[in-house]
Amino acid sequence: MLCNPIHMPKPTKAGLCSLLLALLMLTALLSGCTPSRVVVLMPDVNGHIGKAEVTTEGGKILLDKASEMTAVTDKSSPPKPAKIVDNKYIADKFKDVLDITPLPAIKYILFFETDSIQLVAESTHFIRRIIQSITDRKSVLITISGHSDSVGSVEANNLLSLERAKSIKDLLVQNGIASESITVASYGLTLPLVPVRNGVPMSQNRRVEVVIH
Amino acid sequence: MKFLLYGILFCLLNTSQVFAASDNVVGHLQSLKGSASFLRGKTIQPANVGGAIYLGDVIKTGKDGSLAIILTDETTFSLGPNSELAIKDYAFSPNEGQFGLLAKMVKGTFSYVSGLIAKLSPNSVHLEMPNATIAVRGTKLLVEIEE
Repeated sequence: MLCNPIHMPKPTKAGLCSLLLALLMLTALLSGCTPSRVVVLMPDVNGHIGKAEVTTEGGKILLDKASEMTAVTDKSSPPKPAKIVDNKYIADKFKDVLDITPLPAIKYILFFETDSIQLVAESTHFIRRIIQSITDRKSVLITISGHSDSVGSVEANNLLSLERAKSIKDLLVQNGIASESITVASYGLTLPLVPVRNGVPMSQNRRVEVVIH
Repeated sequence: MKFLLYGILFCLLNTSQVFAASDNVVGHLQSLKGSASFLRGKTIQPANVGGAIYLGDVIKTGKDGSLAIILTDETTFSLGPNSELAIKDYAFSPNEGQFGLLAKMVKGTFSYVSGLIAKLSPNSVHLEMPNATIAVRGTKLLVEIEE
């Protein structure tokens, strides 16, 4: 109809056709040149799904489901409504990133005698395995956190759990693990493995957790 | 109730002591493929597995490069090829109640896995990308930024 030679005089036909062409080019330009800026929410290594809120000057979008995606076009428009993307989309776009993402961390738990930085006999065997794991994985981050049960004062337990953690760090360093790769933290009685009433002795809570990344 | 609140406050104030390995080291390079570099101040450092990452570093991968870094609070960033990440602010001192992470994803592809800062102080994590910011509640994200 637009380009019908019978009803349209020649100049009009040419004008309309070039207008159509220009519109097509503009559409292509707009869709082709808007860079892709996307955020995808993924479950973590334990399958837990958190939340992410993407905010521009124009508004915000909450992602709270696995594989939910939003896209940002420009500063003043709100992010695009959330939609679920499939595994193929994720694999295509993020193959390199997913391939380089490190193995999940390994956690060892060592137990201690009451009010002491002495490991219980069964736990001493784990030191060799911990060193082997660190070496095998060429680990650059080892976090050592000390814990206590709830017998005694908060201060005494903070100090005790710090000493427990430091004693394990010293053992690792003596066995050739780089000191700067190790982060030491002390949590005292605040993060029990087995929650019990205050003041109740609990061997499972007298521990050091070694996480090898 | 009041007693409980004081109890919680007391616990928070006394929870933990963390000793940083050394000043301004925020993490380490955990894995590397292909080419990558760090812009540190005005100098460009080659990327080596196990190498320290400092506050203010800008991490760049080449067109064949990809890498993963792990910060001292266990936050992990992975970068695909032609990517750029700036570590603009970082604090992790649970004993002093100091938590902060501000990272800018400039271009490329990324994965982000939250660490202890996001767990202990969720409002202290700020991820930036061109034209937008991302607030995170304990999670893993994939981000693509085309130029």
